[in-house]
Amino acid sequence: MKPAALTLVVAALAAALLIGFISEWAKPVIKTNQVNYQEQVLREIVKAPDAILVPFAEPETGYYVTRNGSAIGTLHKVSTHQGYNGSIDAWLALDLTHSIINLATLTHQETPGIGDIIHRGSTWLNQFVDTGLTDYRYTLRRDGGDFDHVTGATITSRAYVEMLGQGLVHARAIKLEARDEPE
Amino acid sequence: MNPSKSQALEGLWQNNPALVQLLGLCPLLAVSQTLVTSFTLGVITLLVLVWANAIISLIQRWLFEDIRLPLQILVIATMVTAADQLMQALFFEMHQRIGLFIALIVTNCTLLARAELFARRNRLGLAIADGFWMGLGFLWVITLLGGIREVLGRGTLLDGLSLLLGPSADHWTLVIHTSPLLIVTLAPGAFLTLGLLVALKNRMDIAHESRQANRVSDPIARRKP
Repeated sequence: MKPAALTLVVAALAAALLIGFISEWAKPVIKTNQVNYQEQVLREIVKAPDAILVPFAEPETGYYVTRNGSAIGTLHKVSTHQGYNGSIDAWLALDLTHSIINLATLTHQETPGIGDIIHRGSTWLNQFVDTGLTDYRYTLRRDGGDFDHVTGATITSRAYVEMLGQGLVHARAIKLEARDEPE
Repeated sequence: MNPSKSQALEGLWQNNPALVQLLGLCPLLAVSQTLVTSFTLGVITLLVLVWANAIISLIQRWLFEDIRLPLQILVIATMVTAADQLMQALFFEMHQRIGLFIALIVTNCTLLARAELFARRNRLGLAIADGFWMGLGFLWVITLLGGIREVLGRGTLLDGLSLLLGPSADHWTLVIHTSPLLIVTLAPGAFLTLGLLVALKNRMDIAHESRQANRVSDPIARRKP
């Protein structure tokens, strides 16, 4: 084999090995980060420190939020691919009337800086607090709905609002019942 | 002037990768919306640049003509992928915010330019110093750009610091004013702000021209990009 070709093969192998090792080390750490992060987000949006989260029958899609044995609300995972790039995942905390108590974006790949409007605690996200399907239409005002978009981030705004609307419709179908707290 | 001092001056000012070579514009303009994201991307670029320069300097005798560019890109891409993984492990929330642009550091021409023009023909120590000073040159410009754009475009400073330092830094965000200029946040504002910085630098250089004329400089630096 020519020395140049051999060098390239050796270098590629070395690079693959290095990345392999780092990735093996990082994978469990990243997994833990993701789990912790989700837990932190859920705790934050439930706004009730003593609440207990009971997963839905279909795991990873949501939780019943219970306190002293009775349901006080639900958590729903919503996601969309209509954004600028990749999928947007968020969590909704709903009360018993299916109104939004709070919400937070979990992961997204929208343009950094511009897509920042959907970050946890942003003013734009706060406009959805205390809204529900009975009184609001979940499309942008410019599309005939009830919510503002952010100039420069229309696609992200639209995707997000419509994701919330669909999530709420979906949530309405889920039967709320008092759940026993697990031991 | 001793070599390390001239290298520092080259990287930070005379041949600054962002202000003079105008390399790496994609991350420079795209990520510089706030001071914290700019600073983070600058630091990662600096680290990757130092490591890539070091490795390329070490393997320079195997950089045969036919495979030189692919091999350099391989080294850079490996370093960037490693940085991306490490950042996900160590600064998860920050990665959520600017993760998309980490991979783009591969296309930051500053890295390939320093590998091609400097690291592959110099010994390890010089290559590392070059990576460090060039990286620092990129870092200060992107941080300044991010700071200016954040103040003008959003009216805040240090927003998002908690992503780096934990929740206690949430209160460190300074609210400077409440009449943000939207255009500064958008892409045109990035170009305008960088343009103004370049103009300011040139203005300062003209004022010091007589002093600069005597300085020894990398011949590459004189070549227009």
